[in-house]
Amino acid sequence: MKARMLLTMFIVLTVMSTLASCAKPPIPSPTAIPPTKAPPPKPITVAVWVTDAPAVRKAAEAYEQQTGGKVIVEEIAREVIREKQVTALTAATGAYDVLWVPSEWIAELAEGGFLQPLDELMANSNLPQPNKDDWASPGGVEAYRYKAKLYGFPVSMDTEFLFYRTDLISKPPETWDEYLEVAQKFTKDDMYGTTLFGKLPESISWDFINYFWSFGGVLFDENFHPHVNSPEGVAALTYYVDLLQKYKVVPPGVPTYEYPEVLTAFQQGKSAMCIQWNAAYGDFASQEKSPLIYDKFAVARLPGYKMPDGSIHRSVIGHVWGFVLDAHSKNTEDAYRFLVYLTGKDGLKYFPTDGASINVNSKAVLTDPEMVKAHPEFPFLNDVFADMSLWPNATVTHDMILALATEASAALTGIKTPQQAMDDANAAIDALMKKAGYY
Amino acid sequence: MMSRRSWRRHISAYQFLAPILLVVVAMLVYPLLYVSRLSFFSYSLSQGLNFIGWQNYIDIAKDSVFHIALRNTITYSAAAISVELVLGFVLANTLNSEFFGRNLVRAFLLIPMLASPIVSGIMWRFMYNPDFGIINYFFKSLGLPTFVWTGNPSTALLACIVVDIWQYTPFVMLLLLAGLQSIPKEQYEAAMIDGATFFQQMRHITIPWLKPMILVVLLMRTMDSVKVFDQVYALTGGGPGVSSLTVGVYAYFKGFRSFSLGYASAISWVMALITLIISLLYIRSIKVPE
Amino acid sequence: MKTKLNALIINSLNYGFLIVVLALFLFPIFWMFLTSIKHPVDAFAMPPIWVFKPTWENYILTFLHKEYYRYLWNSLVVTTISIVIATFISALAAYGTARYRFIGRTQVLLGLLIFYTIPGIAYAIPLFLLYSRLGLLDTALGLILVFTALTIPFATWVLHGYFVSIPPDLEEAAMVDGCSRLAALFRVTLPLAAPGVAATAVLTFIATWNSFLYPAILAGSKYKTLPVAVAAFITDTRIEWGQAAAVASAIILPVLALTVAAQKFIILGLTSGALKE
Repeated sequence: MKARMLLTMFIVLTVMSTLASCAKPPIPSPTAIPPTKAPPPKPITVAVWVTDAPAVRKAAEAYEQQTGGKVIVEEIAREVIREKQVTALTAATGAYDVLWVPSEWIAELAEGGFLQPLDELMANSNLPQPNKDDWASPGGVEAYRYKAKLYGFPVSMDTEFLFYRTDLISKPPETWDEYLEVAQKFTKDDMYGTTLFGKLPESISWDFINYFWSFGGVLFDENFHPHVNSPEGVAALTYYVDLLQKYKVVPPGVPTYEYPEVLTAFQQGKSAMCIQWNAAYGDFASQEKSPLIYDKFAVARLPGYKMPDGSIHRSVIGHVWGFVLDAHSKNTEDAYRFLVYLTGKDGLKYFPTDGASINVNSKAVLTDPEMVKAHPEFPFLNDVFADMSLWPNATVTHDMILALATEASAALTGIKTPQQAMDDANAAIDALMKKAGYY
Repeated sequence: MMSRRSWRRHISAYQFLAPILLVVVAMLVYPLLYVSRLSFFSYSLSQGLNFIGWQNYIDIAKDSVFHIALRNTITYSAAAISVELVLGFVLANTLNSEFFGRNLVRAFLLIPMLASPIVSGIMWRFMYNPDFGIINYFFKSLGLPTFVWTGNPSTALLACIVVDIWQYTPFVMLLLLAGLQSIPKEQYEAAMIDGATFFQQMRHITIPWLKPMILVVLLMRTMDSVKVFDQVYALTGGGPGVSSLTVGVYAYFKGFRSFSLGYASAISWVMALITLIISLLYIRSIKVPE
Repeated sequence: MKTKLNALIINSLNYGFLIVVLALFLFPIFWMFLTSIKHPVDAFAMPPIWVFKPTWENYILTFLHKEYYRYLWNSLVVTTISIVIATFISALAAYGTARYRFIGRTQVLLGLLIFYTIPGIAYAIPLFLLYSRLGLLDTALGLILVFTALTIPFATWVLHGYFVSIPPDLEEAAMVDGCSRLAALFRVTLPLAAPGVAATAVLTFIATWNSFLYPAILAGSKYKTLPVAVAAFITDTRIEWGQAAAVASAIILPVLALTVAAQKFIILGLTSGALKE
């Protein structure tokens, strides 16, 4: 009797689950009669991470109104943004037509043949084309170029500011020596001078690179030979490590810090300065979110290295995120149509309000009075871009960032000396380059 | 030649096994073969597939990071599992007898297990925070030294181990408790009539009956800790340096971040092999009549 | 007299021990809950604040979020179906391996162990390829298949352990009375193994419910499960600890309720037919 009951339950559930899978997704059909003479574009799928997905949805709705082309927006959890998208690309089934990819992945994906070069599509007069005059950041577009071919269009570009407390510091430090002095002055009572991003697997790389480049370090030369253990490189890491180990001007917990912890520390008045991404400006300026400091901070360019001739060499890392096309997409032209729309001013205008990308690649959107009012840091942001560099485009860039992070972290926590760490990083990058066939 | 009776025995056995064999073969055999084949190739996003024979395995043998990860994994497993086993057993034993509020206590003790690895990673990260975390606060109030738990190479792995113990002791307890509950009461009654003490009963009744379950728990926990990824990643990212890098995290980075799929596949097989050897050692030493 | 005192001491030690263990194990959850009802300023205060004005904003945001119930339902459907099927067929299989000495027995057990030791990532990419070609991506069936398949090695091994420790005499007695093997399994062995089956079902249910990697890779927007959806609130740029804690509770509470209910139900269900005829 018990057996019968269990058996019945089993059958019922099996049937249920089969039925559940039988429900087919509705076949997309154009909703409005398009005003243009061309037939409506075929449906395409866009992959984007959850924080910017609402913006893409709005853009997709507007696009469908305008052209009748249906766009399916696939949200991807931030934790698996690389895992899922790259898996989809390697599967070569065109699961996603348009993907959300940062510029530092372009080289390896393009080299592997996973991305659709856009140059031919750009030359096709039957297709809508981006308005190059509206591009706020041609440099951001160039970041998507690999071996003379363009693979995507950027959505936003981020970089870092030096945030500092105006009630404590009247003049922000210009050189790393001054930075250390100021930090030492304000490391007292419950507060520290500044913070670092020490966490693995990647954050520490993105923080340390600022110091590395401004000290004159070079990741690799034109022949792709790495030189991270040059005297400049080691000096940069020594300075970085000493902030924690020798001078103790940063909280002892910085090896566990990444964006949220650095944000919190400054917000709670625990650090007098911080080098932090520009996206934090909004949080710091909000009275609701940062009641302790919202009216007591300002931004400055990152400190730089004082050169023998007296000039100050500054360098700050930037991060560009944008959209690319799957080389195995089944609807390349229609995907391109949406790509142009999404990364032009019509699509981009949704990102600052409904997404998390603020500094978008459109002059029209950036100069909109509402935007300007909501983001007083914009004019300053443009100045900082003059100091900005991006990770160099090589097929090993992603792994190089990880290798640098591991070694920098080892030095920061005293496992290795800066010299050892840089030597090991150099050896690791050298191995990567060899394996990738650079020499 | 086999008699009709023994033929029927084999067929009957496979009738019981048929459903799972069907599902496993349909779903898992292709991935397993895929992974095995891939381990003999080198793969990278930029260069695609290249046949390299045993080179991946040779590289693993020479890979100093893998050695560190292996060492960390062994430490992690040994420390976590021994505590979980002992604590789980004691708890199971305590909960085996009826007392006021027993069911409630049992339900509450299950709660740590319900937190998904991601959730517990975040929760513990908050508690381990050196500046506003509750753990350092307690330590300071008790006069103990405070640490940067997840940021100090000497404590990072320990921090992960503590979380593992917190999360999986209920797992061990639940399985052992179920095992204890299937020991017939008559055994204990007979022993008490014979005047056996608590410890004698433990040695001669409880533990022998529980052996199969203890073995299974050891096997499963060992395999889980070798595969562990989510908590370690959330807490330390494998760092600082490589001080808390475990084999599971290393395989994930190689396979799903760097997409060196060939190398990651080879690591998976090496992990499987090592775990199998350990499992066989367990099975031998616990001497369960299989 | 002495034995009464002994018993009292042992009892208090037992209770004391349990209280300490309970406190240690539940404190992190308690602390997380407390954090989730604090205003952010209070959450980061050092020394920690124990008395404060609570805010239920995080919970309101989470539980009133219109999609929460859809994800909850997705998780519920997919997990329950997978676990019921997996437990049932694993019990059958474990009975076979525990009671029969047949050709290929060690190989089957060993094989299952091998499947279990291979880490999840190894299966994810080939499964993605397979699903992509079969159109199983982002479907309930796809998730159910993979969850069931992944549960089987563990469930079979654990149930094998339980069945091995149950002596075959009772079943044999039943079979002498005219029962078939299958009936003996259901009427005699399963009731005896009820705690074990319940434990297995509960553990695999929890593991499947909390699974992140497979639903994230093999499913998408249509069939999103709760842990994946929740990850959206906990991003790497904005860990709102309060909201994260509320959201974590949002995942744990349903499972807790289900676990407690399920355990009772399974044991009840299995043992109700066990009264000796």
